[in-house]
Amino acid sequence: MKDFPHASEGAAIGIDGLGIRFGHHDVISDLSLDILPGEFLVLLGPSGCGKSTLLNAVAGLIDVHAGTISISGRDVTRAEPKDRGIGMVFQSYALYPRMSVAQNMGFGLRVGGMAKAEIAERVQRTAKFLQLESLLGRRPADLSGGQRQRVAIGRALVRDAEVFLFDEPLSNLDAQLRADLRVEIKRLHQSLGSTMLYVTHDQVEAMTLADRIVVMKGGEIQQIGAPAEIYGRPANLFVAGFLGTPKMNFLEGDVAAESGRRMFRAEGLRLDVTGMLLDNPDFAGPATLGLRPEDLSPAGPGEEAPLAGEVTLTEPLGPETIVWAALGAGQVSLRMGAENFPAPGDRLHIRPDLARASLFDRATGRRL
Amino acid sequence: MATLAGKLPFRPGGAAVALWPAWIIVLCAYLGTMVWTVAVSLTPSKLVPVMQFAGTHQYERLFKTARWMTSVENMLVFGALFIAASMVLGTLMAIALDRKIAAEGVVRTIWLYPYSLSFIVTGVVWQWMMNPSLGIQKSVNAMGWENFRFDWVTDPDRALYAVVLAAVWQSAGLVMALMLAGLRGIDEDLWKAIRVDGIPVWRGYVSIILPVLRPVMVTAVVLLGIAVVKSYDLVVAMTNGGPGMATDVPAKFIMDFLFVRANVGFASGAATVMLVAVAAAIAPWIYAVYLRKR
Ligand SMILES: Nc1ncnc2c1ncn2[C@@H]1O[C@H](COP(=O)(O)OP(=O)(O)OP(=O)(O)O)[C@@H](O)[C@H]1O
Ligand SMILES: [Mg+2]
Repeated sequence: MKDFPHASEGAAIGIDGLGIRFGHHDVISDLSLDILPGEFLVLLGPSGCGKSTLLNAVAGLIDVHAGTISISGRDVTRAEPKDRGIGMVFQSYALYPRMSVAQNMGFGLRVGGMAKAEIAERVQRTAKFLQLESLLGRRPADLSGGQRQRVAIGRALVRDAEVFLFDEPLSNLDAQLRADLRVEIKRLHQSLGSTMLYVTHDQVEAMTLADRIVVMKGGEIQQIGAPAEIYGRPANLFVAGFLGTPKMNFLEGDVAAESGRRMFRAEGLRLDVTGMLLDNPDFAGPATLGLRPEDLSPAGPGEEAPLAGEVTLTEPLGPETIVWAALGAGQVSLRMGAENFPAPGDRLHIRPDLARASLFDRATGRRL
Repeated sequence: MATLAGKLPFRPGGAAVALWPAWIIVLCAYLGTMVWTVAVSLTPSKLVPVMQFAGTHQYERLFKTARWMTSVENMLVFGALFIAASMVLGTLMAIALDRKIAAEGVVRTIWLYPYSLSFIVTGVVWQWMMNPSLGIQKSVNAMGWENFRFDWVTDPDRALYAVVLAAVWQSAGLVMALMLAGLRGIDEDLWKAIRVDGIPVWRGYVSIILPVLRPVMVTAVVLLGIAVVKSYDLVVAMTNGGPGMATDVPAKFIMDFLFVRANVGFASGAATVMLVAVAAAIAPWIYAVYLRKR
């Protein structure tokens, strides 16, 4: 993809104290979020957590009952969607069914009173950019899912939007197409430089596309950060468990000081966690130790291995293998190589990489 | 294939057997009577059918009959106005409900209610209401507006419009119900896209939503069209074809010649002309909606 000729600079979005209410049900209350110009921000969270609601509020499609939204420093809380400089792409594509691809892209501009020649030129340029030129005369029904979604992106693109809003744009596509379009959207962002706000519940999409991820639950922001930070240093048990497949392994026990060392103790397990960098180093009490499957490795002969258990299941995935083992403190998974993995029934000694582990306060769920 | 057949809740052969009665009815009752009517129209039959070939005699007579030509003309005017008015009114009401401009429960009941009446009842009610010495005119006159006139049923130039009015009152609700169901089926995201594109609501309906509902509209027009061709009961109840021939329609013409004037061959000729006309009018639609792919 070449650089898009009429790309406009991305705009900053400011959301301050936002409250959204359906009837008497507060879906979002007092939510604040600042999105940088040109940033690719992904809203990630389980179904019903309010991602679409937040996106629709930024688009101006639903009424806000408290707080303000600004785009490019301009307060747009009460502005019509068309006056916000946004383009939007939907999961169901939402193309105009009886119009051709060219009309789908140009109709909004035509209604807006733009000159015919200019519309034709913009549609042409956009179609070229998205490799839709040969499809301009077709109806949406005659397109594949991936092509439809490209047309929907084109419709947002001709508007010269500074902000792109995506609501699960790839969820209706099969796995292969989804991967392809994901790459295309990333390229699109790189060549446009516009601000993109992207809703998904697919963590692979979130990890690969985002500059920053916002993890939401129940209408509240759980954590904001770069993908590596969200993955490596989850702010609470929810975020830790939501990202990553297989899930992070949780071992329940407690943290206590023993003769100057900080120890994590669980059933049949004593780990010296003095070396872990904690925000709350003086904590003592019930805690959960979180270890990613890739942070557990089998101990070689002679190596010290604080964890031991029996292999119960192996899942060879091609490039890697997931090995499940039963410890006294619970079931854990390990990410191992494609070859030389143990068989079910084998005894396994495991070495955790504590520098990459997370500790959570079991009472509050917060990271220590 | 074997596994698929095994999964069906019935054997394909059983379904065919179950459909036999329906096929017998279609073949004997519909096709049989059609063929019989066409055959009789080619005979000089009067009170009772006589099977003797008379060529196109009945058709030549038919098209020289002023009353037939008037009734066809009336039907076309009635049909055009009735269908157009019902479609526009029904669609506007459906949109009003879809936009939540009107309170749905009440309005839907009120508008759909007339459709549950038979045309005979509608005809009688409107005949009373429009009767100058009984209905609206009398009440308004009694309220003090002495010069108010609403005598369409008795005015040869307006009687047909009176029938249209009653028919629209009866059928607009049907169009509304069909269109409302269609509008409710529209993807919510489509409306969001329309808003983001800055397209005004009315423009969204005209250029995007209603074109999507074209199959629903075709269905509504076909249903209304069938009502037009069958229009007999409403006319009989309201005006009995009068004043003069002002509201005469082909169906009434045919019934008169069949049962009152005892001219079976002539009436069959008229019925055959109607059949051919309807088939010619509906064929392209059936093709467009059901047979053409997509
Ligand atoms: N129009 C509405 N009226 C009432 N409640 C609504 C409405 N729209 C959404 N909600 C509620 O608001 C909450 C958030 O919905 P939202 O659509 O934003 O979730 P989401 O995070 O986008 O979920 P998903 O991943 O399933 O799309 C849900 O509990 C939902 O039931
Ligand atoms: Mg959603």
